[in-house]
Amino acid sequence: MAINHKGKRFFIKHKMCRFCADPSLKIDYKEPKTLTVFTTERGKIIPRRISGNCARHQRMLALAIKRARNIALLPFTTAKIRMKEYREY
Amino acid sequence: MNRYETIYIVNPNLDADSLGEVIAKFSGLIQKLKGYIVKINEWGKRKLAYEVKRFDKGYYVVLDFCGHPGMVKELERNLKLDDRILKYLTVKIDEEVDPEDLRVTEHQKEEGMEEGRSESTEGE
Repeated sequence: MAINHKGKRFFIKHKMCRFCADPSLKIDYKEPKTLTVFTTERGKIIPRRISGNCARHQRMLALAIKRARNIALLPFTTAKIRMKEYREY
Repeated sequence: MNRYETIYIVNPNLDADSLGEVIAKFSGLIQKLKGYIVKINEWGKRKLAYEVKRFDKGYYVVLDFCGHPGMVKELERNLKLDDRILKYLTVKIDEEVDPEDLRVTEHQKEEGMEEGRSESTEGE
């Protein structure tokens, strides 16, 4: 995330898929750290047009994120945590 | 035979003995069903991304093994029945693998790692 001259926030566009550019980067559902980069704060998967991934890697990434969610490594949503915070007020 | 990977989350409040018992139970089950265990990887206690059965922490164990599809069904049935298991996930990694081949490659990997270690100590 960056700020342009108009003061509006925008995502820096990657011209190339990050996984194609760096073959050492692996998509693994057991590594939530690399997967969180491609999810929003709410836990949604960031679309391809924003993340800049190629179709193949986006598909692999989506599968990995869904698997990680299934085994509680990544959240489905953060709404519940927010509800907890809300109750504390 | 296919190669599978099963991750299961054990109740974090168990003591070391019963934890070892749980892990031995499922690895023993695979051997009983004539599967071949490649690796057992214990991640230890980790925070869960969301509450599972009212727990916010869990003990992760990764079981890497070779076997037939029927075995996975049996293993998952047993995982489901055990109430010390909070959650589990099985993923097929590879199809039509030969356990003998895997045994050899794993052996080479270990040897390679040992060599790498001795070299680095020599360097120092």
